[in-house]
Amino acid sequence: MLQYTFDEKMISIQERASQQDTTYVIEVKSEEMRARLKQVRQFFDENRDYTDVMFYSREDGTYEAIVREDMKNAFLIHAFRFQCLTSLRWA
Amino acid sequence: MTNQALFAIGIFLVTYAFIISEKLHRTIVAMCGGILMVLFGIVSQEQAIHHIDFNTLGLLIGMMILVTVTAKTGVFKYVAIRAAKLAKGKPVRILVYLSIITAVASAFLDNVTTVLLIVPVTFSIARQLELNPIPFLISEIIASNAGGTATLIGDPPNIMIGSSVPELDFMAFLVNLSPVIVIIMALTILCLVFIYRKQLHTSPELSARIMQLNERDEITDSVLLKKSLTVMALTIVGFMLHGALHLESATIALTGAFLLLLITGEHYLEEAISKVEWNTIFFFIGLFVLVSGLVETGVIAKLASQAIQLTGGDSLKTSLLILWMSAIASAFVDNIPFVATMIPMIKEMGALGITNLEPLWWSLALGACLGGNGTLIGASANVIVAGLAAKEGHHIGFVSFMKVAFPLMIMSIVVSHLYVYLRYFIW
Repeated sequence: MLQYTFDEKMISIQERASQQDTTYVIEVKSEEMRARLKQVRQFFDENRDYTDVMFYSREDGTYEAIVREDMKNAFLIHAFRFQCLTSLRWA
Repeated sequence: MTNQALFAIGIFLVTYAFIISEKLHRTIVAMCGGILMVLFGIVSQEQAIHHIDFNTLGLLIGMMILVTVTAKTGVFKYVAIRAAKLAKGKPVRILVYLSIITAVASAFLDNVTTVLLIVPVTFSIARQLELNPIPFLISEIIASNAGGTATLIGDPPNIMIGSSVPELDFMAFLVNLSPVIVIIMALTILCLVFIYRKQLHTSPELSARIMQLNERDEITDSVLLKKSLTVMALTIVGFMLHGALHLESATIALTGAFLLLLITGEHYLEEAISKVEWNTIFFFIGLFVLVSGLVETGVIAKLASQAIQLTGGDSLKTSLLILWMSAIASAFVDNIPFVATMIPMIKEMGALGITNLEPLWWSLALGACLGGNGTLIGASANVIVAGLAAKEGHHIGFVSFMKVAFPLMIMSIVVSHLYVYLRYFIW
């Protein structure tokens, strides 16, 4: 299982797990972080797997990423790749 | 019957059997069948190329490019979320709205593309409402196949028919097929709401979650959106006028596609071209050559004359035979090879004395497109949605799908039967 940390001044992430997926409720606190998160979203929007990660934005400005269980590690790795996370390690 | 004809029938049947068995990819099988027709000298390479309908291929390629670029704007996701919010997060209304959106989109876009755009949003909406997504998915499958029946560009069988019969232009399809499709859609949605009424309940708190989604943020590129929608609208106007302009539908679709690429810049070119479903294009090429073997050896003419003997050359009986035969066949086998075989047969019936072929063409379109709703393997959109659902952990079984969809398909064919009878033989 992957554990991650993030810069709380830039972003806040909360997890909500269900049987088939995990929902990440993400609040970005700077435009720079918003741009990084958009890169993560673009990466998953453009691949050929249509249900791996689904991003939505909410009226209150927060984002929701619904991540299929088998894609959880891939999602975190790409969030780290685009610097939305500050560390990632196997627990 | 000549040896050449027997060889052609043998190659055709073996190829068809492999396509149905799905042991090998259908594109490989169709291309091998077509190549065998040439290798055995049943058709020459020149004749084979002559039988490939480049209008069908051009139309498919043009529309695939247009949709690929337009999908990048996020407009389809915007529309789905907006609909869910207009439905105030109420499941029954969402099912109705998403079915209507799917049907309308499928009338102008390829069915597979439509479900690939709408299904991911559906999963998300169902998750937010903590509902089983299967009622929504099955409704979208049925709506996509029904909606695609309404226009010349909505479903491959219609593209093939429109391409083979120049007098059946875009407006002819719209005027003749859309009224019956509206009736079929209304009845189907009513039935689906009734069938799934017990599963379509959620709490007010969960409905409120849908209302919190921000659909405006789904539009990723507003400049591209304006360009795409303008070109899409121009293309649809072009389709409506292509008969009057004496232009083939492929010319319209390819003009739209490359006009969009011209005004959006070359950075979309590579992705747009790579997302064209070349498998499907080569599948069509293989089939056209395969069927050409039957045409050139006189097999199709013989089958047509036997069909006419069966119906006594009566236009009504022949239309209804085609309608029901196409529907039942398309529920179990791919409707594209079926229609590819039926087109030359109906043309031959014209040569053999049936003067009014129009009801026969509409019966073929209705039967082949709506028949795809009968089983899970009846149309590509069904297979794609079932695959996506399985990935999400929701199994749509062959029998469970058939229990809902087959009676609805029969109902749609009964309505079509009445429509063909009343519109073309009574009024």
